[in-house]
Amino acid sequence: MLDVFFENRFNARYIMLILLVVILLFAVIARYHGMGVVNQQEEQLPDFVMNKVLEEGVTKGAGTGIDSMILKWALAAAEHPDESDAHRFDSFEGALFVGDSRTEGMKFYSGVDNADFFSGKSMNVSKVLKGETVNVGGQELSLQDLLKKKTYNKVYISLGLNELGWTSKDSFVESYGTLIDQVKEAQPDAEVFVQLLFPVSSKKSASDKVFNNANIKACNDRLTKLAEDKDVKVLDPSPPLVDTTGALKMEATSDGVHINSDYCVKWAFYLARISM
Amino acid sequence: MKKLIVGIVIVMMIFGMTACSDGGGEEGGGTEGTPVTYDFTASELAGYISENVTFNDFMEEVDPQTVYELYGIDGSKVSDSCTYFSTGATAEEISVMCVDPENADSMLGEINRAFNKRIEDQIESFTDYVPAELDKLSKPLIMEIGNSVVMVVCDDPDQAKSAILEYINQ
Repeated sequence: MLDVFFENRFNARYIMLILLVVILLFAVIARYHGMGVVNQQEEQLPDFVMNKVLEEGVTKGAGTGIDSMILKWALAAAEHPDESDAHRFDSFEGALFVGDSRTEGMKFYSGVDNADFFSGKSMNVSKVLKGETVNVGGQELSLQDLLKKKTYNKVYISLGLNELGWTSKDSFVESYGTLIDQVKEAQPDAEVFVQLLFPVSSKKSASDKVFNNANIKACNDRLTKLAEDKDVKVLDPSPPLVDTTGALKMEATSDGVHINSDYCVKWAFYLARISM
Repeated sequence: MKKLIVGIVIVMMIFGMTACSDGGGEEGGGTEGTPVTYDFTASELAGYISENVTFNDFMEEVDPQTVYELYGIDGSKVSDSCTYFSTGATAEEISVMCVDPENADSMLGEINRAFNKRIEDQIESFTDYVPAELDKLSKPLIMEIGNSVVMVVCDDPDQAKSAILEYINQ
């Protein structure tokens, strides 16, 4: 009976096709249940990240978690940024950056052209809360106006450097907290990120009573605690920008504080990947 | 068909090369009433300025669209432009903007006004930020060259002017 069945070439092909579909289905199910080549931990990585991790051969040793993998992958990407990659800043689509002159540097030099920037020289939390306006896409707008005008899916805040000299640290934290609340209220669906301050150069740090790395570390500690209290994520952008001592690389800066275009690109590459 | 395509490409190349190359000016040594033709692109001149004038900061090129938005200039009427900003540590800046002859009457004035407004904004920004930079902002070089306007903010505007004249007269 079976012999007769398989002698019919049409039936044989039909069986082969069904078998192929079953195998494919099994492979798909296995993939989504951690039974395949990609384990469950890696599975949670976005496809874009996963592809890059596999392509670029980031080491996946025992005990390395997803976060660690992403950080390694992001750092590798930032150290040799591929500016021809059309997807390099995909994760910034629909994002808003709020910051000071350093963020303005990212706006001018990083090549990020799919996000908005609310940034300006000497910008600080107090000025933002008081409704200071800056040029955003050719229009003079306060942050409050901008948050009413557009919807963002991510908001990156990078402030604190110009507040290092404030006598009241509590006032800084309180104002920063108010800013986070305002952003969350105006953009309830947006993911809010607090960017820690990246260090100044060792030369600057040694010669400046305000803009030094001890003060930056103290500020970052306060920001980390605040972000925890406000239930928002903290991002440390410093790894691609610092030397082995943890200070801003000398080659990256002319004044020890601001970074040149090469390092603005590294900053953006790193940030885009650690905030996916 | 091939000849037609080649012809179109040649015509496009000729038009593409005319940016900043036409226009009259006072600084070229031409006889009175005769427009002086300058042959440069915005990036060539801006690059020459960045290399031949003393700047204290990294000077790096910025995307034109970002600059138009920041300066409040209608970029569609600018035929060629090149702008260098510093890292933010200084107020140093170079901007060269060129327009087509038919837009020159309206646009040269608009660019001049935009450059002056930019200086005012920078003075406001740097007053509490890096007051030492106000010296540079108090003596910006803004000059028209044919159908172009050039702005340079640096320590020595005379050095910048000499470099520009040297470049356009070479």
